[in-house]
Amino acid sequence: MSIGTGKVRLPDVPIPHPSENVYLPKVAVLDRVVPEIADVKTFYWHFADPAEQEAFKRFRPGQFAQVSLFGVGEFPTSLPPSPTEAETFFTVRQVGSCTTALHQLRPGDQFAVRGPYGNGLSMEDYFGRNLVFVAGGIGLIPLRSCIVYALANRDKYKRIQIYYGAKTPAELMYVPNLREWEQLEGVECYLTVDRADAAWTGNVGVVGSLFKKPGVEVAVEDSIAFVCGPPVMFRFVIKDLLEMGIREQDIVSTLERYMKCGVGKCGHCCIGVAYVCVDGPVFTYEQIKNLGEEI
Amino acid sequence: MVPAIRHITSGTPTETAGTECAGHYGRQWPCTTERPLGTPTLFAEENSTFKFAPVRKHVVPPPEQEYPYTLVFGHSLYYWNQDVLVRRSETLRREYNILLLDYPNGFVEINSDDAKKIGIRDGQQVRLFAPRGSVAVTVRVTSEIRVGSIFVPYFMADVEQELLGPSTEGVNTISVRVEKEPIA
Amino acid sequence: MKARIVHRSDVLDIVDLLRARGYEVIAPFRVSGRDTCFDTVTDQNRDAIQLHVANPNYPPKRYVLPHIERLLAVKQNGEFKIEPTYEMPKRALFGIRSCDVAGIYHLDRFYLGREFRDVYYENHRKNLFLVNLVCTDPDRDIGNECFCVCTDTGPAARDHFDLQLMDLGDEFLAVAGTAAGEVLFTERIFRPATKEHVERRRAILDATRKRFRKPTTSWFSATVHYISKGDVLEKTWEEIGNRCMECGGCTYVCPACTCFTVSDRRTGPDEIERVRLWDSCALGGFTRMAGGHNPRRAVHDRRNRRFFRKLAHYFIQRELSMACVGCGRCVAVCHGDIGMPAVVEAIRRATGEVAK
Repeated sequence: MSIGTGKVRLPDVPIPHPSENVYLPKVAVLDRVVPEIADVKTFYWHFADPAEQEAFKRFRPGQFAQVSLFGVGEFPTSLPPSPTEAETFFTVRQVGSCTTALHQLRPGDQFAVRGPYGNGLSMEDYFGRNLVFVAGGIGLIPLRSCIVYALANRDKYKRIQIYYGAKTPAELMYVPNLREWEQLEGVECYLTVDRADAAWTGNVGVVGSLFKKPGVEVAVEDSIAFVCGPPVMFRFVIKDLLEMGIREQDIVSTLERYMKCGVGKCGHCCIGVAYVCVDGPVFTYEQIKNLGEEI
Repeated sequence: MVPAIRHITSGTPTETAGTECAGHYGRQWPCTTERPLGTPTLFAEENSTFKFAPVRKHVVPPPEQEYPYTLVFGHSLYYWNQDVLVRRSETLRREYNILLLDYPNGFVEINSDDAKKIGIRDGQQVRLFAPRGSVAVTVRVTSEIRVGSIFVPYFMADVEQELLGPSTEGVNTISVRVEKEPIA
Repeated sequence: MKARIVHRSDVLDIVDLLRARGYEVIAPFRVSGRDTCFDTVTDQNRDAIQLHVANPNYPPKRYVLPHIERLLAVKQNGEFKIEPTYEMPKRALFGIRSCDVAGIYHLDRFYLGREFRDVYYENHRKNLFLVNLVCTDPDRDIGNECFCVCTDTGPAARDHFDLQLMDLGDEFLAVAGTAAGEVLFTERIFRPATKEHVERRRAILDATRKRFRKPTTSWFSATVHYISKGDVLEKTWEEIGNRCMECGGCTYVCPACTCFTVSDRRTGPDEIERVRLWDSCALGGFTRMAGGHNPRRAVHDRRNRRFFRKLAHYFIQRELSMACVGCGRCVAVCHGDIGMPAVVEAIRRATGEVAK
């Protein structure tokens, strides 16, 4: 079993001071809220204590944070910003009681955050390789961090490809970013929707249909594929990528689970032999296959 | 002897005196004057006899062809005692809330074999028909209930009312027929 | 390890010594019949302490990981003021069994030995003094459910206690496991132990080991092997799962179960406290995510989880201790008769036959 010893694990996980209370969240202030799609908003925030903000900024792409809404509860959420960006923000869909409480906050309101947690990705390990990002729907949220990081270090990587699909054009996430990436030199950004509207001129079909489109050539040799999206899309994309010849250990994804502590103690997020919060949330497909339990 | 036990047993053949129950885990009934410490085995002495008495069997009418399912009423799994208890226990509340989150309009439980026969899936709407009335409910398909029964949690208060109407006189069991509700 | 001899009439003086040193002493008491419990020793109940009784079902785990524990107190007037609430009691557990000593050791490994240390656990554990009592009385100490001989945690703990007591008849053999325990040996009641005492200890332990009802030692290792390799059939898990009534009792009495949930509650108009409380993987809400997806919706998936977590070699290696200590409490409380030994037996039989 290679959980924790795989390539995605970094030795320099920011371990807090031994006597530090890992359950103690720090007060954060909401700066502004930007609606993304129906039920999904991006929340820009900063820690009340500038020292905390400085410490938090050491996070890596793929890590997550625990957000506290006092009186309601705490929930884990992935970090869409890249460490290379100035602002910190979350993109959250309104599903349960905690996320509903977050969606009701107004700029200037306080909540609390602790983290970053999880193994995250060491993007430095992939210097000199091709990067293939495949996302579906709100699966773009955790991948955004990696994409922005890779683009900030564009000269370190060979080809960068982004394949992104949503149900309708209205459900595309981070539209300003997508427009920017489409225009950018040296980035192959392909978008698709399941159902087009009148204004849509791009591809129509599932994400996998992009791979076979004329003019598209998926980078297979020496590539790392980042896959994130709903379970059905995940299964088909993995199948396609494996058929194209990308190795299992070169396919990376993030998992999500009900979580209470984020530090490997509460036991809720355990899948098979792995605690998603400390061994993950980033796993290679090879690891996911060997977890010993269905994901 | 504990006063409560003296009170319970007063005037009965097992009325006893001098039995000290406090501090012990209990006594094997009956505690008689001869055996104040209880009787582990009844009729243990030689030549003692006892008679079997027939017990009248409760006759359950066979399910009618028209109404093949019997309703069973009870508490749902994580609903303990009263609301005050459930509301103050974190774990019970979570489990109970989740049940209601999965089935926001409540549910009745039906066996998976029966569900297959009727052609309904978990979470679908059905209509229960009894001779006096009918009610629309969501089904929860589970193998934890017997074939031929439909379990109705107590909190589905309207089910009984709708099926029986105002009078519950002379009703022992409620038999129903299940029909798929057209998806609105 | 140093050993001393205490006379039978002086054994409870150890409790007095600990109390005089400022410890809150917890000891087993009889409630009624075979019901027993751990409780704080006071001047009134000091003489009622029971040395040889059935091991209480409510495990001593709660003295290091309280059933409900406050983590934070939050004041909210305009802005939040977050105060962690720490409790640092000075406690001694007197007369806990070897299985529970192993249970506390497992919790130590889990809460203190990984990437993150749990400060709340550490505060409870830091000043905890463990007086272990070896199970020697086959009628009163060893229940029908006990199987510590199979998990290699008993009847006498080898390590992780401060002081170990063993009934040799009219005398008790006291062994110090730590420096804190050795300090007590300067007291008058402790006399030097002889070779003959150690011989007697060995003889009693040998005899006690034979008094366990169901020795399933080899089955445990076989089952760990099957589970770690993923050989157990889905059908076997389903059969086990079908007997689970989802009450969660096994996890609440387990001295080595670690899972908890966190909940916020309002304690005043502007005050909120965040508490953690024991949770159970047997319950459906344990893994249900907001939005309704539950990766372990079927009962047998959840049952599977508990035994996989306790028996998979990967976790034993990760924590360097097995999450089952053989106390037999899950057997005693389970309505469906799927306590640990029954599951081990079922898996061993079902998988062993297929493997042939």
